[in-house]
Amino acid sequence: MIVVSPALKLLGLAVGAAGAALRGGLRLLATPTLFEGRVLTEVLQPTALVVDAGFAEDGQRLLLAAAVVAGAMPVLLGGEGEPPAGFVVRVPAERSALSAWLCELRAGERSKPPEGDMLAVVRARYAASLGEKAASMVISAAAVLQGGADPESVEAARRISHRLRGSAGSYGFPAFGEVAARIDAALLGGLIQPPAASLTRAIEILELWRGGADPLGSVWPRVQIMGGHALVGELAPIVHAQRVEVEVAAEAEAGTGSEGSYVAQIIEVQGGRGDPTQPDCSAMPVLCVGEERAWVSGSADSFARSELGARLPALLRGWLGSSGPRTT
Amino acid sequence: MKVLLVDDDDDVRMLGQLSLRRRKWQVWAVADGREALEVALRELPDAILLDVQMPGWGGPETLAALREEPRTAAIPVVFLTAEAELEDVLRYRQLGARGVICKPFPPLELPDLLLQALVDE
Repeated sequence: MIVVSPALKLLGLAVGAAGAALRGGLRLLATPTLFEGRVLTEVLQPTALVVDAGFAEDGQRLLLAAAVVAGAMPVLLGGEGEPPAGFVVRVPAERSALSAWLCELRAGERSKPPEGDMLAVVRARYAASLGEKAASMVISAAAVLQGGADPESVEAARRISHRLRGSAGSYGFPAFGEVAARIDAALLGGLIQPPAASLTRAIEILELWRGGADPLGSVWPRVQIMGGHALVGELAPIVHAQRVEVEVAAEAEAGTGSEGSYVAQIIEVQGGRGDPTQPDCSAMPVLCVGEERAWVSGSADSFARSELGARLPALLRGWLGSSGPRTT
Repeated sequence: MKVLLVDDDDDVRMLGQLSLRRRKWQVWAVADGREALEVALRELPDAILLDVQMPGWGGPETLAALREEPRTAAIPVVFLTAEAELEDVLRYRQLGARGVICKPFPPLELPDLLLQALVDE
């Protein structure tokens, strides 16, 4: 399931409410941006796409189109009244209601294309191969972006992205086609210029499923976050980009529930510097996030709170490296 | 209407054929320029949809080869391309293309886009 909301508090609420559903075998990916939501939906083809009702109508329509072509159940989060045409249901932006709805949600069979509609059949075939195509593109493009690739490798990478640029939109996957176009344009001329940040981010998104034929069905390591919805909403997309699950804990549950199974714990600290109360979680790295500074418990170093988003991926990679192999 | 579709991408050929055949048009689809020339000489299609970037003979090279053959020289060629900046379109027209259709194309509209390109001259 994918949740898209520009409001970090709402995103955090959804991630928090998903705990029981996650234990039931569902995975939730959170993203605050329209574009990333569309790309993730088109390629991952989730069971459901949950769209913040706060998006403007145009944005809602774009996400709805992505859900329809991906065979995902389009769900509107928040607001009042009957959902707009195309959305299956509107779920209140309230933890207990959202949690109850998520617990009912199970990965279901995808609708089959109408018999005799060959266009729908080839589109479904293309959709089924999109994960493999994305992995192929991102592996070759990432190798080039890292530098040192020979001209043949650059040309091969560009050939893949160029083809996907030309075909994805026709098959109903325009956001993925745009990612391919960005990669294609960057590879043109052998990447003489450093790639734009938007391209790097696109690669990061695609790396979500790199190497995994069924990434939504695989098991990811988990990070426990104890903090407000805004912090959870801010950090969840960054954590997910490292192929790590987020579980949100109430204060009394911190460090408990799935003892020993968390890669790390992130705790929002009120007030100044100092370790929070930690119930028996000494074996696990603990990242403390204060109003102005953040630090890893037990470390003498701290960094500005504003740098948290940029630093978290490296911290996660370090923790993952020390906690055993990743699963995808 | 008889159309020859030339594109090295299987997915584009598949979608293009389906789209064009919905109009009951006769369609041949091939993956490279040399094969396109052979089919064009044999079948003499009414129009050729030709991808610009292909391994081996690209669109411009294939177009040049078609123009050198008296039997295929007058067959209208419309380029298919993912890069259609204004200067590209002008360059393709200077090479002798009747028109340019941008990829990705809306699949159900491909026949109309082709007809439009043929009329637009």
